[in-house]
Amino acid sequence: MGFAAWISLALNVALTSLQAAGIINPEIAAIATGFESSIIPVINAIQNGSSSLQDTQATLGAMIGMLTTLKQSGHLPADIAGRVDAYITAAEDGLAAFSKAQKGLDLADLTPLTPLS
Amino acid sequence: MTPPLKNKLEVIMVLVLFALGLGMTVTGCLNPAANTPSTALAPGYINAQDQTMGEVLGTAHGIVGGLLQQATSGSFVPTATEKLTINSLVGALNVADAAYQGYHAGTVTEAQAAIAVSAVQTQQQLLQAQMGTGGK
Repeated sequence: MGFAAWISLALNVALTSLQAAGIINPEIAAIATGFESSIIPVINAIQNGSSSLQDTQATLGAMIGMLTTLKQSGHLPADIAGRVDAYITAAEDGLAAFSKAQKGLDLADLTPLTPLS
Repeated sequence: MTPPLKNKLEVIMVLVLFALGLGMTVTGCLNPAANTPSTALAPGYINAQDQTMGEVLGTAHGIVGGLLQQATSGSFVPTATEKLTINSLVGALNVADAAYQGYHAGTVTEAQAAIAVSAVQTQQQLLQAQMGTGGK
């Protein structure tokens, strides 16, 4: 599902920034990326019904917790922290919308969106 | 001796990752129901393909709607390139919504609706790829 990719994006952006600034070393970034690689399929497994929504929410929550810790460290530049926030919010909104759609169809949710000016 | 802040952050990261990995392991072991595929169709959907399309569109609405709201409020400032791609995604989503609504009204075939939904997924992947590079 799309929301997992947004969390992955947030983590990658945060780790790249911290590594580039020399705050964390490449080995730590590699460990985090390895965990991410194993977690994303777990989240995506909900798409074929092989994972429960509760498990997905718990895993997503854990990843968001990790990103929150990174943000609170104060080492992320403001623009990167802003982006991480935007991606986390996008993932949370996507998960909430997916959860609703999974419970039943509501065509009223699929109304036209207005592009950015 | 007090370790430098950089080392403290690395220790925190390792602990968080360990806890995350442990949590996943425990969740996977204790909840066998999580590995049981669900085949039940939710209310309002015609078939499994229809439900998948509805879930994809619903999720995309949540994600894009959230990004648009943040961009409008100023908490997220997309680059010019990102803005173009977000708007392309909005365009694809609006087309897919119309096709999906038409499918449920009987005026559009399932195959036609599926093509429109697939275009949304492509645009979403494009946006994610762009944002991963900071929209450059």
